[in-house]
Amino acid sequence: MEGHIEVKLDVFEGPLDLLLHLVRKDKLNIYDIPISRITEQYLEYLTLMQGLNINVAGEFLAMAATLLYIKSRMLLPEAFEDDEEDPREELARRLLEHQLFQETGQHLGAFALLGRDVFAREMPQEETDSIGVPEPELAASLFDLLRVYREVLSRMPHELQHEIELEPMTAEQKMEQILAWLAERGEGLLEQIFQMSRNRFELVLCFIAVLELAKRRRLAIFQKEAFGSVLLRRTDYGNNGH
Amino acid sequence: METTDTRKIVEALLFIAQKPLTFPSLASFIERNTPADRREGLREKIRQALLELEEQYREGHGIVLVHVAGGYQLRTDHALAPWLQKFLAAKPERFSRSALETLSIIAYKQPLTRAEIEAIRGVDCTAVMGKLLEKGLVRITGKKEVPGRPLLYGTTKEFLELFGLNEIGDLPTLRQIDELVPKDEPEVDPAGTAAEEVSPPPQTLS
Repeated sequence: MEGHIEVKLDVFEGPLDLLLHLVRKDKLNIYDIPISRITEQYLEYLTLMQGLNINVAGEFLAMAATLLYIKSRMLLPEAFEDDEEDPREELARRLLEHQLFQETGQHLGAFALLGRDVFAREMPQEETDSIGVPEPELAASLFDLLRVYREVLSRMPHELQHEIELEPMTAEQKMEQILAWLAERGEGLLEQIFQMSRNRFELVLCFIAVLELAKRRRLAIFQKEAFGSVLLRRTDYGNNGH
Repeated sequence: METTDTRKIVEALLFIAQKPLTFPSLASFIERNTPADRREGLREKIRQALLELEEQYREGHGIVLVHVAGGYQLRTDHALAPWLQKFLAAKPERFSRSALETLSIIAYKQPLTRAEIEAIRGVDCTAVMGKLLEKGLVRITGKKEVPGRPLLYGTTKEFLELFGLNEIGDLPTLRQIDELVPKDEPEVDPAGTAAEEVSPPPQTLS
């Protein structure tokens, strides 16, 4: 080691990044990497990182093993010829692909981004519902459901002490309750349904019941806009069944 | 409603809409609110109006009419970004290099699994993926039919809106990007690289 290697610590995101840096630094040909030299440099960097108390992630070590393996294969001329494949080929392919997507990422970053480079009309949340143009309803994703669940969960007061054991509810009862509630009003906010719960147990039950109803197609879950409120509506499905 | 100039209606709707308006939603809204005897050829008029507006906003305006995420939207001219950023006192969303890289891998290779993304990036992508999912730029599109049935990921409509793309096919091809980026090529084949530099296409020199 020459004693003064400059490392920008945040630069390397993973072993491929580091390798690519080493390749570029010395303007090496990716297809013909001097594996012995690069392995040496790579390991030097790892030692350096460890010396600086940087937690060297497992991926870095796995790549070190790969490099050493390739190096050992290069030392065995017969094995090399038998396969008729340069042991470095796979590595070169990965480096090139990695490089390509580094560039693609940079390229994407230079696009005219909405909210950064170009702007469109934004309206306060309340007013958006009044627009007459029907936008197709967005199906709410599991993440949206979880988001609402988490929000309500965080608002939930801690369970009261000295509470007499409530009659435990079953998921079936909860489902009936939800359907009945929706029957009254057509559609309702997922949050409101969650708020009917008196404790965490019921809240969990409520979440399960909503998912189960959706699975049975008794309930449609949707949003009117991205990140908007999650709404529930009864469907007619399965009503004729019994 | 009165038979106001269709173009004016279209323009006003685009002006007030918060999301890109698709042609079908625009057309059906206008149609529903037009007396039955005046609906003849209305869709064609709307289509024409969109074309005209697009042309009209092309030059000399602070806003442009763009095709994005399968719809139409009025957006500010890119050149005015500094003004608007100041005006809105916006803290523009910054995308980390890792977010952009991950996003580009997903955009080009979708649908694909997280393991496949990580193979390209060479690092664990849990945190980045979490952020992209939360922002709604990426979504789960299904499960891959291999052992373990890992989740498959793809980009969303919000992704298209954010990047101002009408459809995913509007992204430049990987080959184009590869060619676009200047490389510090090693001295592999000086003949090959030299040949490329010889003659740029003759521009109008007159």
